[in-house]
Amino acid sequence: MNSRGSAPVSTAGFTSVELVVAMAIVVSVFLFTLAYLHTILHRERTKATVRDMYSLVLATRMQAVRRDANVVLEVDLARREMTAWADAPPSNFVRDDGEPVIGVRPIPPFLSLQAVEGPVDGPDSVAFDQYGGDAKLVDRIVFRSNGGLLLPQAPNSAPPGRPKRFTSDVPVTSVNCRDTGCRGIFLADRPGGGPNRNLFRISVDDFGRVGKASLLKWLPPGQGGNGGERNFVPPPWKWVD
Amino acid sequence: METQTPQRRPHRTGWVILVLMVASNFLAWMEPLVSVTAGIEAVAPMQLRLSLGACLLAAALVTATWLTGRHSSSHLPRAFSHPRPLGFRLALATAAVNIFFGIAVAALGPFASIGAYRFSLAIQGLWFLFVLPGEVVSAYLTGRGTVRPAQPPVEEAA
Repeated sequence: MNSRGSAPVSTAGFTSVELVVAMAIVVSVFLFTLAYLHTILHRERTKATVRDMYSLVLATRMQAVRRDANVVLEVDLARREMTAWADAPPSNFVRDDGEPVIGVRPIPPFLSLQAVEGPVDGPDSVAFDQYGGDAKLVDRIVFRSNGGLLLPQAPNSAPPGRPKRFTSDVPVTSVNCRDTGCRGIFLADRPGGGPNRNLFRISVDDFGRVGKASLLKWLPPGQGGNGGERNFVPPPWKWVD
Repeated sequence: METQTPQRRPHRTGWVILVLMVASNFLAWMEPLVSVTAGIEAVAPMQLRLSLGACLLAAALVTATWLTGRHSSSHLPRAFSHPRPLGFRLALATAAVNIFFGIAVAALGPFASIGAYRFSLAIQGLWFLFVLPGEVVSAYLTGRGTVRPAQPPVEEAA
């Protein structure tokens, strides 16, 4: 007689109930693993790309100092790539034959160049426009030989303001982009507008004049940003998954 | 016609408790990955492996001990005379602790990087010390709860 009673009587192996329960556990583990991995991989991919582009801005500035020359970082929206080159004198901020290319980074298709309000690849998506009065010189950052930024002159390329009030969500190093826009390279992980996306801003000289680069993330008012402002904040960030 | 007494009715709810327990582990282990590392720095591969490994280990242990409980014939101490409700209570307690850990990390994580990191380390230590053993014991008791005591041999009417 079986001393275990009648429920799991199986001398050959597992009963069907046991297999079903084991399968339920395996399926639940699989589903949860998949959900979390999807979130983590999407976020890591975005972070890695944005970090890479931010690094190129830093490297461009360093090259300007090292070469004691103007170095330009141009964002080509049509070809979706960023190119840094040393601008030989007389500086015209246009890449001429013979000017050495310092670095090229493709912009992957899963990232959109888009400002807080504006279309994908719109004129404000890369707001480093107009140099020496030439409105055709757009979408490029120019570092001078001392590492400082040559200030872009277009209205959409003005430096940001400070937030009206600082909170735990909007700390001291945050910025407020005015309605007319502020300079920066704006990268979003989703092409649609609105707050349900992770929107980054890579920029130079938010408040100083030493060529300091910054990497900030948009914090919409609904997620803790100040009402009536376009706040970009430093990490730690709130993510939209 | 043969009638079943309530004690002989088969139990069908144990799997829900087991799945709840296993699923709640993901809150305690994966939330630190998506909440605490909220900056531009990448998630460390070692941390990802540890978190996923802990969840898989717990699932494997829970399944194995539940099956062991179902196939076990040893006598339980008197304190475990009702293993099924005891296992359920323990499972609910561990799931509640896991959910609390996940919510706490998600709430604290984005605001205090170093503190949240230490907090998540403390949670991981506590999980290995208390939650995982609790889940193993719960799974065993839940499995044992499906085993009915041996019936005395039925004397045939003369």
